[in-house]
Amino acid sequence: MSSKADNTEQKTTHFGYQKVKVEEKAERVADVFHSVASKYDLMNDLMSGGVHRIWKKFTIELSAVRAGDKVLDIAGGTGDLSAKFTRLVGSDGLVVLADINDSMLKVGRDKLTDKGIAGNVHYTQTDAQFLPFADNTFDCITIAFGLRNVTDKDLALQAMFRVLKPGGRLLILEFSKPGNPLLQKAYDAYSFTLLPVMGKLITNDSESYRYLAESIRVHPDQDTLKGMMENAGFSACKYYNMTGGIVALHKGNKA
Amino acid sequence: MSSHDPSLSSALALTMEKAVNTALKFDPGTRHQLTKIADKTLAIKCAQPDITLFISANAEQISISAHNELASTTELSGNLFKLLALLFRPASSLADSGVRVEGQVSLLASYQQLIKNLDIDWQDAASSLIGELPAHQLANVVGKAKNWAGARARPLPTFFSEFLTEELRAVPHRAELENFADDVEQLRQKTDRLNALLRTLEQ
Repeated sequence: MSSKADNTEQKTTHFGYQKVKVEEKAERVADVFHSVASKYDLMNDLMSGGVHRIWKKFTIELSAVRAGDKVLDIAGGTGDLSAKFTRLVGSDGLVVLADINDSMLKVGRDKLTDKGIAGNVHYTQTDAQFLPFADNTFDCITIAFGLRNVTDKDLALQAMFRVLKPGGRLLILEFSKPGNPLLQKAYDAYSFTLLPVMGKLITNDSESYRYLAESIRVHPDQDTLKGMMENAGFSACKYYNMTGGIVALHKGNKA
Repeated sequence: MSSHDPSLSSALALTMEKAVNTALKFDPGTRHQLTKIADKTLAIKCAQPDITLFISANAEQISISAHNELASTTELSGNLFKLLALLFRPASSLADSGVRVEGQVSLLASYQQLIKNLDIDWQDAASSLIGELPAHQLANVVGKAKNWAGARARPLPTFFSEFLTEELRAVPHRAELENFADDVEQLRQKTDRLNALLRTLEQ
């Protein structure tokens, strides 16, 4: 899958399997997340059988975040990664939890505040394509299960590269392509039959979870995303397949 | 691409981390001690089974990782049983431990001391699940049962040992076994000497 999927020249882009106008995508993605925000964590646990916690744990392990660091958690949603990062950066560091969707951001902010996390975390409603931060600001940037919803992924990667400090790391945790054809078939069957049913039962919204399954299929595969990171200027790019490639963690550095 | 799927080792690390931090919730003393070793990493490289874990402390919690991009303060390498013995028996000597230690030995000593002084308030832990009054009653019952069993359990190994050796004669006494081993050793030495004498005579 090429990055040209977001074909801005024709002013259309993917919204799941549908083609929509570029300016429409952000609004339609926002509708999806407004709809699921309140039960997002519950659905994540149910859909993945709790395995999303392991994927996020590995992301934290590879972040090499230490006391005093500045971390930007893009599409941070309900704050799973940010909560861990606040502990690692300590009182001298800073975590910025950013999300384009105000419903998700509110859920994340309330969750972290209820856990007593405050002081070293800021919240900002931000579009990943146009990050409102100075050049060379962050030691580490993460985006977990968010990049596939971004309208122009190349633009977002360039923005991340700009605000990352030299020597900083970008970590992209995202659904990807399973390597085993049998696993792919089982995964397809699960995604397109069981997932919308679970969405209907838990959030009374099967369409949002149908979009989730479709958006995963049209997202760039592991090697394509790695190439996109290199095009944006990142060096030493590599990826780690997890759970048979259902999810991949991409890592790149700013030299 | 990395061919190794990191999910399994991360799952192990996550499970251990959750268990340790859940236990530490009920031991504020140990939690406070963690601030003294904050931001130092103890790497445990186990050869059999082949797994490496990185342990560090921050914000009164333990972090256990299967992967670490930063340099470790102290590194232990060895097999599982020797590593466990070293961590859980602070008196054992490093030289005889069979574990290779690199970096700051004081961090290892700190972890050994933390494990030794671990004092989990089980009553507090139970009260968060079943309420304070039932937890107090449960703690009383468990405490009495422990004392009763402890008093009776102490002579049990001695009783069984004597029954097997003296009454049943199923196994030899330790002294008999040592005498037998000495006799075998003397016989081996005599045979060696006789063999050497025969060789000399043949020449």
